[in-house]
Amino acid sequence: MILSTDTPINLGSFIIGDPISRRQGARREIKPDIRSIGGTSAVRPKLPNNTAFGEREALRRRFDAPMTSSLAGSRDFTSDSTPLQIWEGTVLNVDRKSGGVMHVLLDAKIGKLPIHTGEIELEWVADQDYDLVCPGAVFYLTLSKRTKRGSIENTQELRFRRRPSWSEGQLRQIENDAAMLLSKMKTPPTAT
Amino acid sequence: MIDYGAPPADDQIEITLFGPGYGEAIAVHLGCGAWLLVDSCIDPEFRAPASGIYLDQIGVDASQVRAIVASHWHDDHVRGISQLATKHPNAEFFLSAVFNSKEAGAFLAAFSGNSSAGLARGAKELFSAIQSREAVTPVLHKSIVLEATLSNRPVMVTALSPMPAAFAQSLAHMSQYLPRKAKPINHIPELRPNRESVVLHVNVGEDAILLGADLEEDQTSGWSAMIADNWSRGRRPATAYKVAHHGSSTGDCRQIWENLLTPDPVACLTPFSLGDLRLPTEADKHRVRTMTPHAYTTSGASRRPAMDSGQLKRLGDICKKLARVDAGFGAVRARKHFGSPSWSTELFGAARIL
Repeated sequence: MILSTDTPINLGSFIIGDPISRRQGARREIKPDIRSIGGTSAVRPKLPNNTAFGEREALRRRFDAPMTSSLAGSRDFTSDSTPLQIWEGTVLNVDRKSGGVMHVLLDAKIGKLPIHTGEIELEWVADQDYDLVCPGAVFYLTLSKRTKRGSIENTQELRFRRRPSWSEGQLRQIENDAAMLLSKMKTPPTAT
Repeated sequence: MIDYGAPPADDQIEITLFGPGYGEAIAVHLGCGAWLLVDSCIDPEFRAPASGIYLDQIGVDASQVRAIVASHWHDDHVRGISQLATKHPNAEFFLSAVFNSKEAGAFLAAFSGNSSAGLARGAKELFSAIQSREAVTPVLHKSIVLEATLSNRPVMVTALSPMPAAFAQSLAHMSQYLPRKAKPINHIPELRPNRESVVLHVNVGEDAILLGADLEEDQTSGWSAMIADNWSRGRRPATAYKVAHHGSSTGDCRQIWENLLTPDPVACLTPFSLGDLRLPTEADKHRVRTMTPHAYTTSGASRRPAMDSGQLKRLGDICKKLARVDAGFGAVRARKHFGSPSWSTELFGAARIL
């Protein structure tokens, strides 16, 4: 999921079909949220004056449309953006109650930082990745800075790794490896 | 760098527990320079197995290690154990007998990274360790890990678990994750509850140590089942205890303290911090402290995120409750002369009184 701060958003009475409510087949009214995301843009987007929601919420709630991997390379954010932090994450467990949170392990891919744990709300997960969220799933969280038309803004991308399926060749290899492991087991003496 | 000082005297028994906040390793001196290593974790300074670094520093030759035990396959207990298995070729290598089965073998093989990218570090470590050896020994309840006579003192290291009932439960658990054709390849989560753990009883002359691994409580396959067995209860009560499952209430029951330990034993544990699970909790610490006044932890340092404020603010916008996995590396060492009534305890690095 990419979040950016460069485009005005039509808020109106503002019922956003955010990823979670869309999945649930309902539209959820977004409540004001004081969390700060991005926010370094020098040029603020123009927002309707009568909005009941803060700018920050509006900025946070703009989700890019799902994108196929073949289009990923052509996104303009890659051309002028600088990744500041890249984390490889592993989902430890998922709590889907009350909005949903995944507990994660984060391993820095830039710099030498120790491994951290934390929790990320599932609303950060893109629709097309939602079915991949399960214990053991691997994702990449990229936090970037980009300059566009003289303004600096923060962008972030959270994408899950799609793994291939087990092949017949791999299953044969596993069978051979398991046989090799078993062949090394010997019987221990037993106490009386 | 931690200065561990001199090695134990020939007539001293020792247990040293290492922990970086996420990980656990144990070194036990059985007397006369003979050592037992249980599990493995990484010393963050040397990025090598902590117990191996320890033995090097106190001047123990690699050939003096008699046995290496992997209590179970979880990442926090086997990091670097394949290096230990290679470094000590003369030591016999033991693991839970649960792995002496086709299903568990396939489980390890599938998630070892041999046929696809590494999917579970713990499985990879254990697979590599077994692969590097000519033979390994699976142990279960009543198995003898080591039997010797050192300076006329009988030494007997036995496995109190896994119990037979744990086999079916563990295998059923693992079977859920066995690869099937056309099913997506995923990382494997740690499987809980943990019933396949190898609990060890170390008996040297008149002294005994209980190493609780990560065994959890259960009436049919956990602590209660093990203690209900006459043979288990007949073991010499231990004066030192590596607390099971990081002090968690799920790894504890009163019968451990009443049947397998002497009053007020030396108890040491390693903390565990991963995701929303942080052990021991304050209630856990309190519970252990009520059982003994001699309780220690290898690591009690801050888990505050280790990054600059800019990085933290940026990441913290998306990821809440950020905490370091490693809360500082430390070691708890308890030594005593054979037959002596009390242990002498030393704390290194981030270790502290519980």
